[in-house]
Amino acid sequence: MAEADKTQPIFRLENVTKIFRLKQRLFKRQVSEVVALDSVNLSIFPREIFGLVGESGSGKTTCGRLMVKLEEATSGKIFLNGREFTGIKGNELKEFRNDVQMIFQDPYQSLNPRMNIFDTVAEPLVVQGIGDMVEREQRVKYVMELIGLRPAEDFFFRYPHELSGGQRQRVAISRAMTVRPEFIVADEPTSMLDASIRAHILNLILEIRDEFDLSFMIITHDLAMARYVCDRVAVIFKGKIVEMGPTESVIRRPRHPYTKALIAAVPVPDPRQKRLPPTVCDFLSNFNKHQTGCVYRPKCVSCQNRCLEGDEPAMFDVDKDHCVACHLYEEGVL
Amino acid sequence: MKETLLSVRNLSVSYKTLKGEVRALSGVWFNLEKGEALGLVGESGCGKTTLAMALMGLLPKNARISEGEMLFKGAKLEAGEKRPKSLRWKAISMIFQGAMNTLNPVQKVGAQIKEALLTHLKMDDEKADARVEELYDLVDLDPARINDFPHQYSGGMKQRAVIAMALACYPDLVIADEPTTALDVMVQHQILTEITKLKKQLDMSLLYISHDISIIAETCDHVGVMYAGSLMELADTYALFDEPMHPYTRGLLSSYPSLVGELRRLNPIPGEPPSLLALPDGCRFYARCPLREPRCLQSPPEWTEAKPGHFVRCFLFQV
Amino acid sequence: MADHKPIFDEHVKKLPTRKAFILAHLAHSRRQLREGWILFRRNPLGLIGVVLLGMFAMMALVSFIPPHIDPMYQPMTGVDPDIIGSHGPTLKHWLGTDFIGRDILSQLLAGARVAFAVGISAAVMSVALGTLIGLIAGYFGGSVDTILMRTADIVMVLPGLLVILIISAALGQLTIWNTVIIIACLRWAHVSRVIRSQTLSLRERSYVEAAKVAGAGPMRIMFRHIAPNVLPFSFLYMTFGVTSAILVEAALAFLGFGDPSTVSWGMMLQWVWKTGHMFRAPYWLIPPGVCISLITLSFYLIGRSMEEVVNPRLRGDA
Repeated sequence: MAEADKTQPIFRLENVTKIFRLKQRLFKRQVSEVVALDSVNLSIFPREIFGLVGESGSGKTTCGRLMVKLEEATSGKIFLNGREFTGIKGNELKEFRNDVQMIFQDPYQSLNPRMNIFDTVAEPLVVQGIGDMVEREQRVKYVMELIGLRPAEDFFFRYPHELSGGQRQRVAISRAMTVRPEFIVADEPTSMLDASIRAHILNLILEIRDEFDLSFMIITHDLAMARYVCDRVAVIFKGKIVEMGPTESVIRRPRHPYTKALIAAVPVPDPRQKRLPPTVCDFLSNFNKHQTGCVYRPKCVSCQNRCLEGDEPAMFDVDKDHCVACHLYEEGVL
Repeated sequence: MKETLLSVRNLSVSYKTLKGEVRALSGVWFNLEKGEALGLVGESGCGKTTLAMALMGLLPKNARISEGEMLFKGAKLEAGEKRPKSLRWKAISMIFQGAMNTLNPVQKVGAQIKEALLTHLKMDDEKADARVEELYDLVDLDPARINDFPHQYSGGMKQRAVIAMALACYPDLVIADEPTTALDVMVQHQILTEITKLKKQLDMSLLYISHDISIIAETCDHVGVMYAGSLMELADTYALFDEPMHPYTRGLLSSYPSLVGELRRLNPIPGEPPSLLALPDGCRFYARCPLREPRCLQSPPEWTEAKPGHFVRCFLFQV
Repeated sequence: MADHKPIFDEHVKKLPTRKAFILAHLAHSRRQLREGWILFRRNPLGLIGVVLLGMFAMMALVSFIPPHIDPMYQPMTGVDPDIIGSHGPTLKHWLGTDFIGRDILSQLLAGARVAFAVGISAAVMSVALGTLIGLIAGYFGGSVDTILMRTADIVMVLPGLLVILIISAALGQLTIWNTVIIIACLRWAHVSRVIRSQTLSLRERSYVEAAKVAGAGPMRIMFRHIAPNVLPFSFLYMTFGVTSAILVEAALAFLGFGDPSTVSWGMMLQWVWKTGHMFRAPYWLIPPGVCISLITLSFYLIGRSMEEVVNPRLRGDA
């Protein structure tokens, strides 16, 4: 097998849209729907840790779930290693599950309280029919010790309630790793952990990436955490990617008004860094009853007339690999 | 010299559980002055919520104050039932963790705040209504929404309503236990700005409890670092960040990634916090301390003032 | 793409054997039972229930000892030709005799046997059926859920006793096992509703999603993930199911639709009534009635105390 082509993305979303249709009432013609993701385009490259940053309701969790096929996209395509994997079933799905895994947010809920640790970590192997009993034991032990649960045998027969939050999250990571995936989606992997444990897990993710040539997609609301761990970052607002680029570039020189507002809102662990109070946008001045235009217009402090009409702004390049979906950066404006 | 509002002296609280006695707090000492904001930071299990409950008189039945006392304005604070009603909510009020869920979903928000006024201040109806409007103004909520139900408010609005409720009876001290944990970062920013503004405006004394040291750095004048039920370090905010003394504080500070400044590697503290059921004899931080010595195992270090206004509980600084 | 890195060679060390796994599972179950027992015995009502139940269990066991007095012997070939007709308690017959001289105590003991047999088997069957249906309805949702739950609604609404009476009239005489099956078929609905709602909430848990991402199919998720978390509730409902089964069986026997060749407490009540001894022979009337009430009470108390064990949120302290 030739070495993976470093310029070919390992995972790609093309114009992915996800619309949730809420239950239709009898005799009511209108079906209420929620657009969770709107024409999302993302590429994640091998050995890259990609961050998807947004607040609650931005669609970031839906995006993650879509990528591991817990949900199916309403439209658009998903590619893994160049092969299309939209709407697959059966053996193809099995193959996909061997390559793509997920780490969940809540270490207290993502482990079955009635299954011991060994069974939990070995489950993907059992379900995918990999190896016999002996081989499974070996793999589980190896992975667990790598992730820091040493000696592994001590943990095999314990149950989740006997472990701390940090240990549980490590178990969850071990579970994701046993099938040797190529790509792992981590949905807020550290938001429910204590600060010192958080740091351990973040360092662990960096180590695993280096050691195993893995790619990660980290979904988070914590920009500081994303800065520490991610190579590239995409900022998402109400289902649309508004800015995307190398982490340092996006954070040092944010372009999109939302990104700027987000950065200004993050508290800093340094009492000398006084932050400015938030600039509140006058909702009414950006009101547009036709619901067209840029998705951020209700809150945008730099909103102009052009932003109220027509389609969403396209992604404009502003720097190397760094692009923004904002009319302010259209060719000829700046 | 400012007046000392709250004085906690050698406070120890334990819980009786099925598995044994849990020593949630041990030997906590600190003073809070009028108009001061003290932040308590620590990880889970450090006892900060227990401390808040003890101060509020809300400790559960299986908890008891095993040692020490709390003094409010010079007078002793009783725990739980024995506390006189005159003190409840009027002198000390609280903004709870998960405050959005402390609002009664079937009662109008304005009515809930009014209830506090009628019960504790015995105001008459008109005056109470006026005060509710005043409060809404104070926390930047639209007075037209007074008669809405909680589900009609957004997360940030609910939080402001809860803050308004805490401020309703002109408390001397407000205890805020992780008030912004469940909120988005933008809303959190607004609420923190609000709290800072109110603190200045009302010369409010604030005890802010959080696991996030960044928030505390921003809002508080003094910081106390808690670990496994004990206060490990207490200092002026600038002093703590410039010169953290306790090894735990240093470890904690290097566990927070920052959005500004150089991107440096995090060096977190190894290991896990000890179980509060089986605490070691000596310093509680012994097992994870990079600077540990044999004497640290023998007995717990004393709470010493290593520098004026800067207290530490560590043998390294014990004279 | 798991093959381009050698991972196992350097890590072959002493590994736990299959036996260790089995032992570990057993140890865990034992630990759980012990914890459950500690919680359970805090509640005095539950202990009363257990004591009562123990008493009845003893009765049932004792009834297997070859009796020196057979509850069903025919007076013509009887052991005690001196006694014909109902008589009060004597030294030989501790509770007296019924209208044809059969010993009431032996009948009572044999009735305990029947109560347990009927109660437990009917409860187990109905709960097993209810749990299965609840799991399937809750997990799959949609039209499967609708069909199953509407069926459950219909079954719940049917007047149970009437239906049994009609069926027994149609089938002629009922045997004890027919009764058990019919009770099971009519009592699953309530359990299925509860299990379904539990399944609905468990379905959304992260560990179920994690199993899906690992590749688990619906069968595995239902029986390996959801069922173990739902079974405590099933056990709980089983205790309540026993009470209702015993009562139904007693009612049937009393009304004359029971199995005449089986002695049960309900049957005893029927004989008292039919032979006109209701107000003449209190030693015959009262014991079976009291037994039915007490055994029902004991199961109910046990069930109530078990609720605390099963549902951690109902517990008093941390």
